[in-house]
Amino acid sequence: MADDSVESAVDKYLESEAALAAGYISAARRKLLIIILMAIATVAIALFSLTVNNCGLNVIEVLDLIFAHLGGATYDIYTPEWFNDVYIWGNSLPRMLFTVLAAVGLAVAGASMQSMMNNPLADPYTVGVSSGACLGLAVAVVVGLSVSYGDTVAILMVSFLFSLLPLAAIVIFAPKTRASPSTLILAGVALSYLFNSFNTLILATVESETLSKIYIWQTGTLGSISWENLPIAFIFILAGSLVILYLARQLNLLSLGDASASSLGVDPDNLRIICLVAIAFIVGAIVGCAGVIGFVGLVTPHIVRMLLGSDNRYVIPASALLATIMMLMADIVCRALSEYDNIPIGAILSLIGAPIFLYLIMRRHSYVWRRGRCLRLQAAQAFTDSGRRYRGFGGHRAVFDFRYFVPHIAAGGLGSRH
Amino acid sequence: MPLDSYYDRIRDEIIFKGTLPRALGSLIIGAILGVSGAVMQYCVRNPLADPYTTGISSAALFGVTISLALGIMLIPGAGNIGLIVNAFVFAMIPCAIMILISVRRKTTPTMLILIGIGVMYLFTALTMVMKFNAEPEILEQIIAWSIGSTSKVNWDAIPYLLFSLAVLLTGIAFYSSRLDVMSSGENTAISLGADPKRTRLICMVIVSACTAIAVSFCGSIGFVGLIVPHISRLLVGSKSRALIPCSAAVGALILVIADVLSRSFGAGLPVGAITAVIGSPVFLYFLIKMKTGGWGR
Repeated sequence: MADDSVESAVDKYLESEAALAAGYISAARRKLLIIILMAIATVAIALFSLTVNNCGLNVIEVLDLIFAHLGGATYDIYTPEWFNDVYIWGNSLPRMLFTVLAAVGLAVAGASMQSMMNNPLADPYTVGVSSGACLGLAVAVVVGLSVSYGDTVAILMVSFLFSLLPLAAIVIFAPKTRASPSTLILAGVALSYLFNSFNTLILATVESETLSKIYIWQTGTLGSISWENLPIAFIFILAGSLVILYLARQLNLLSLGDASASSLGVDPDNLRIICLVAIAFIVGAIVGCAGVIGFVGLVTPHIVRMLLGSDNRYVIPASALLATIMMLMADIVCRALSEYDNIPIGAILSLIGAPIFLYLIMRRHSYVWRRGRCLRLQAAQAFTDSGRRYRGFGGHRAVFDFRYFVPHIAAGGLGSRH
Repeated sequence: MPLDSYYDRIRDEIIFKGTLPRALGSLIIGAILGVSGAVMQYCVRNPLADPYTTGISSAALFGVTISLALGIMLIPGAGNIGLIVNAFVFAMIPCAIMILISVRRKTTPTMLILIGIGVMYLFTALTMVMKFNAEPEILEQIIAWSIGSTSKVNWDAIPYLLFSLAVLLTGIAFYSSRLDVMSSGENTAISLGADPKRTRLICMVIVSACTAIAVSFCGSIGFVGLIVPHISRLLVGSKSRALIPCSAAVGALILVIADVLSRSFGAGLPVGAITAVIGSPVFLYFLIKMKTGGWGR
């Protein structure tokens, strides 16, 4: 009697524990499955994008060509094979590789930025890194570096260095002032406005030829990728992404608020600064090679969160893969639509992304953090106008703190208001 | 007074046809931008809102770009007028979108901001494609327009600007008490009888229309709508009866000063560049101050 009831209670408890564990494992397996499917799709689309070219080769021929080139084959000049080789190896392949890299970098930076700032509207460009990089591009072109003279590496390095300026300002001032993380982020946003204004000043004063060059550089375009700047960009982006991937678990904890996170063993200030440095590396490299490509960093993590929940250990790799798919498709559309590479990829991404973005808002704007263990309730509170005061960064309530929301640079657009 | 000398006539011409309408225009546009900024900050309850939050500046830029780069003008008239009309008509598109969406769904201020961003993304994407392929001279004109300058304001523009300012001030005057009540939160406002949804819609429409008129003549001058309400708040507090006239005055003052500065640099730096360079540190200051001091209501 009494024994039976105790036993059955214990059995029930063990069963429920087992069910919980099984549920967790099956959910984790499902997420892994989705990630693996996305990886397969990525590889397929990457190979397909190599075939969208002027040479009319199919996949097997393209792969043959690449392996032959790697094997050291040379062709007589001006033969069709030589043209194909130059085009595929010199143009298509680095472009495809950079598209993959840039997509991965932007998605990882965007997802981690959203976790770090606790703001669903954050994207990799929020903290001023892209404004610094754009200013660097403008300075580089004004100083006289130019693509046609093969200065792509110099331009990359100049814009990368300038992109570190806002970061340096933040990192230097962090220990001095009694700054909470919110002030740091705020300072980053204000610095982005400052650098944008310098950029505007330069744009207003140069003559039209230089202006055209600066604008073309700053708009997101993949046209100037070559084997010179690709390896350096590869190193920077890979380093930044690996760092963030490693910190994904700790970023999860940030969503509980600073106090809870630090009691669970995470140093939130340090974590934010390390992530900011990683993001600066990624974004500086991308903008230095290809300009400001918007939207991918903002929208991709949201879509992935709708599928996989908010766990950063899954969200960060999955958004990297989804972003790669999106950007490869956008690149295919760009190249298919225009013969001479006249459409900036940022424009295509915005045209696809803006309706998605609008749809996501219109539907239910508390979807963002709804699934997963992070911030469910807080999202509902944050998005409704309950007239509550905004709390600081560390509290549980202030998910969407309006002060950090800045209607800032649109997808690839210049200037803060244009 | 008879003007005998040639130089007297030239001077008269410069002052009365060039400088005076420009100064007057700067006053009026500054006032429009200041008041619009203050009202937008009331409506979306966000201290970082400005008159362009609804996306009208990117829509107007789109209109300007298609008229400069593609030559498509809605009124196939003389170049400048076609440009202005284009800019205005396209700037009203986000306004129309806002009305349509507000009528059919319950819209919160957040949603309005986000819709503005979405609209801005769309128009910016289309503009980007055209700018990317434009010739350098045309690109320079387009970018100069987007930075904003008061150099093209002449006497033809003044009546429209005056009309816009008058509509803005009288329209907002009716709603000023309701705007105050809206600041205390959605539910409080409903329970106090100020219909926040309707007030928000009407005020934002008025603001968008008047700002669109101003923007068509001078380009999208940034930062004025953003900073002027904060400065006015420091001077007279947050009550709308005081804040709105003060924003008008401060806005006018700031834009006139910027205009003077822009004319002092010999090459004629556009006003938008000056407001950007000066406005950013001021904005930085207010941003940090808001963190410590709070946005007083």
